[in-house]
Amino acid sequence: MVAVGLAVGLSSYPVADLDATNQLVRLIGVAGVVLMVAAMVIGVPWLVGWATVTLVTEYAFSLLARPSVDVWASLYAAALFLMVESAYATLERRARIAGPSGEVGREMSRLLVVGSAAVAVAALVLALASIPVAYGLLVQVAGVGAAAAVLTTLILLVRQRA
Amino acid sequence: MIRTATPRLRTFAVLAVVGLVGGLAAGRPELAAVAAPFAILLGVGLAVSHDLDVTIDVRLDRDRAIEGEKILLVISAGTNPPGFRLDFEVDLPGGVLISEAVTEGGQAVEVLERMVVAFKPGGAVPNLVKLQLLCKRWGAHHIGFLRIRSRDVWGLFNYYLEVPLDLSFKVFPETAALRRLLRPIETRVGFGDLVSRQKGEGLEFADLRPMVIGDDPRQINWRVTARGREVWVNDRHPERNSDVVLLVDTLSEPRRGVEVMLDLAVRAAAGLAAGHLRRNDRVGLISFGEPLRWLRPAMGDVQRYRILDTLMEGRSRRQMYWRGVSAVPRRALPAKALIVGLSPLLDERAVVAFADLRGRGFDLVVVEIPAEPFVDEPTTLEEDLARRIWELQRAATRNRFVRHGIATVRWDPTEPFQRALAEVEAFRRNVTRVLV
Repeated sequence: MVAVGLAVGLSSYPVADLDATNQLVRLIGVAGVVLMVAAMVIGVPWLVGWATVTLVTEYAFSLLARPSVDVWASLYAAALFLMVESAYATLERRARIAGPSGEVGREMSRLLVVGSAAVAVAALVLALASIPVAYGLLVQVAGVGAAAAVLTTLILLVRQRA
Repeated sequence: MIRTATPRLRTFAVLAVVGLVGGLAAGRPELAAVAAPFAILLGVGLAVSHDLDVTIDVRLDRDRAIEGEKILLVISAGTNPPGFRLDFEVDLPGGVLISEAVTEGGQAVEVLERMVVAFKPGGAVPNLVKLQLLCKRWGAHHIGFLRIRSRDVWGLFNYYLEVPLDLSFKVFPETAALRRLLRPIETRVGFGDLVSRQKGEGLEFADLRPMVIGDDPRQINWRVTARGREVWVNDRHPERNSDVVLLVDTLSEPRRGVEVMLDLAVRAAAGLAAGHLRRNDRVGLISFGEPLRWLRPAMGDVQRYRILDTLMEGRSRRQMYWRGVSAVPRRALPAKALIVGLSPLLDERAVVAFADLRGRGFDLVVVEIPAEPFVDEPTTLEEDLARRIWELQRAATRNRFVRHGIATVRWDPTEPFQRALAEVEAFRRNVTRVLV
């Protein structure tokens, strides 16, 4: 229920400021919620991934129509993170077995800590992005290089560990 | 242990890539901000993840139990690195449940059906978890494997291991004590608790007769002798034992409801075996199925366990060549033996076998385990007709048995087995033995 509620909220937020003519974004948001509901009802973990990507796509499209930086992006990131975590936690509890007594409480506190950390990290990224620097080719190259380095590191870690 | 990525890891990776690449392409820092928590958690989780080694040892505290008793399955487990929670799934056979699980220190471990969850070994030094297996149904049981599952703290990897086991144990049926057992028409020479119909040396008074040369003077009945002019001696019935052969029909095994019928037959056979062995009779067994198994009559507790073991041996296998009861050696079917057949009388081969045994002059009793409760009620006129014909055929079989002097009774499973035995005794008292 928490995951579905967050999915509804996350799908509503990007279209709140959009005009009524932008139906495509709304449709993507609805699709994301439907996928999340299906994932929870059927109990299929991989559908959670698709639902999340769909919701992020909706958010990305909504950003195209927004001229300024979205100051609530860090809260959106935290909500998205909480939605994914709570969805997986629910599915794991249902598919596996109920954990030992007290595990639900521990899971909730873990989610709160991780959610707070997500807000902080996202806010930090936004703050770094808003620092007024003289844009030029060097900054662009540095940004692309950093993103490429992060992705390469992740891919290498996944290949090495998985 | 085998390590596999969880769906969470894949989702985090996709979101990190989509967010970072999308943010870069669109020039929107918001997307990078959305992807950042996923990317960081993924990076940290991957950096600290490692293989998990498990040392495991599984054993049973004993290999025999009686229905309703508990057997202890002891799992000794350790993990390297320590701190991982292990979930065990035991391949339990039907009729066996985990009733309780405790750690070495007596701390309860959560149990869900055939799973034991949230056992957290202390580390490389193995810790014990003791599973109490409640044996609810008799049978020869086998535990084939133990599955171990675990997950890292970040939820990015699952660990899995299937440990093959070869643990077997037998659960013997709980048998009701039978107060009165069947009396065979003829006894053996061996000493037992059964009073023979013959006269000879023994304790039980049989008759009086005039003394003849060679009689033991200690048998003189002085009271009777004092009244007359002759010397009278007591005749006595000697204490003898008998041979009892239990013939359990397992031929109907593939049919519906047979589990219940076989269950009833085995329980009855186990009760009879225990009772007759207690009476110092020699008890044998013919498991009349495919394959045909038999045990020669013998005495004692060892024989009781042999009988129970044979009753529980494997499932039936179809055989190309069926020799019937003629395949049973003479030693397994001694002359004068009382044969007690426990059968639903569904298979013609069993019916033929009973007729054959009676034809060979054996003292035969057939306890029919009713099959009717396991047959669907007829819904159409044709089904009703077929059902009536089938019931008439079964009644004809029973009547044929009775005409040949075979004591045939139907055991209503809702009644104690003792009642069926009482009916047999009544039948044998009232029906004149037919010479064949």
